[in-house]
Amino acid sequence: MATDETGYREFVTHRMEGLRRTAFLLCGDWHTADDLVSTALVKLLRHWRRVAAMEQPDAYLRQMLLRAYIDEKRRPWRREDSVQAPPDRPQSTNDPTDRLALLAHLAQLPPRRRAVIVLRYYCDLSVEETAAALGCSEGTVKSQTAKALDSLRVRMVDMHVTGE
Amino acid sequence: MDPLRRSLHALVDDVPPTSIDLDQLIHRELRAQSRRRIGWVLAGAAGAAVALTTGAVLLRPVAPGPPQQAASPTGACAAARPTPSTSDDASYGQLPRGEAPEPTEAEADAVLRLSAAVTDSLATHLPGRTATDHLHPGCHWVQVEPDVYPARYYSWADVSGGAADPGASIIIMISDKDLAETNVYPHRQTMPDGTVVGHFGEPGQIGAWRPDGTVLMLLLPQGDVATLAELVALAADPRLTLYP
Repeated sequence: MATDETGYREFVTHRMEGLRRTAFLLCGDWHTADDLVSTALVKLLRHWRRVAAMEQPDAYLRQMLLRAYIDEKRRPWRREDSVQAPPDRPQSTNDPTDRLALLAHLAQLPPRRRAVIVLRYYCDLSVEETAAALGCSEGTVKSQTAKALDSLRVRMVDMHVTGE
Repeated sequence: MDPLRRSLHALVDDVPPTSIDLDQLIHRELRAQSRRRIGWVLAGAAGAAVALTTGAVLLRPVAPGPPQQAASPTGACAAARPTPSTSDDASYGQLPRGEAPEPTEAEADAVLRLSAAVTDSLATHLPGRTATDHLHPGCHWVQVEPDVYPARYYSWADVSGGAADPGASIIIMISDKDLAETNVYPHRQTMPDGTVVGHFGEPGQIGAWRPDGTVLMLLLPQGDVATLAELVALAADPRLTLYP
């Protein structure tokens, strides 16, 4: 079974940066983010022929990234969450204190709850799409969203976290 | 923009250079795939009379008998002994156990047994349909392969004929840990042997949890290959177990 390598490269190249951003928001560390993305890309390549024929290949890829993240959090030897700026990072105009604070608060959320926040508020997925991505019910997504927002509100009053 | 959304986007405003080497990733995975294929030594493939020139497999029971005793492959694929998985990706092997007993069957033996079981089960529950493409076209078994995330054993086939939609395919995943949350399925049936089968009321995704700890998922990523009733029966087939 020949792999459509060209098609795979094109698909991945256009999505690499977005994937890395999503992975970073999930794990808080760029090195771990690259590990998660690599895992997802290997799985994608294995099933590329079928995924390429799907109506929503992006949803499938996102699901593989999420599974890699959640499985990585389950390992007893997982890396400690690292909230640190990557090397050679251009100076941002945003207050670094706020950025680090948000990362720290995200890190304190349970993995699935953090994933719900990232999917709903960064990836802009609907409740239905988020449920499909996480393999859970819509009710679970709603309750996890509410709990995550409550937790973030308590911790970040100054950032005016309101959600929906 | 909502403040939370704005803050999340701001967190990833500056993306550092990636450590991912896509060329290397592709090269390694394609090489690993090649090793896995070479591991299947098909002796006397020309003798596989059931395999049609197009590589299609007519789904019919290869060894009639009690459901509990799936026959081992015979004929052209009898010598097909897969080499142990040499993939660089060991992520599955590092996942925590605990939801079910660790299967004791050797991987190579399980692959052969489950390949026969999958082929038999598809023939039993999807009569009149043909597997037009699967892992090893030319072999008259719909074969499983080990350690394909997220499953312990993984099988797929393009299916045509009968009630199958054109271009439809089916994926079968067998594991000893949950492949999806149990509460994702609004519909559940408990079979006479205690197997619980969950679904959404239509073909697409079916989950099954056997009393022995085996977890199974059927996925139809492109079109329907069978009715819901046929898929429920397939998912509950006792031959599809990690604990023979």
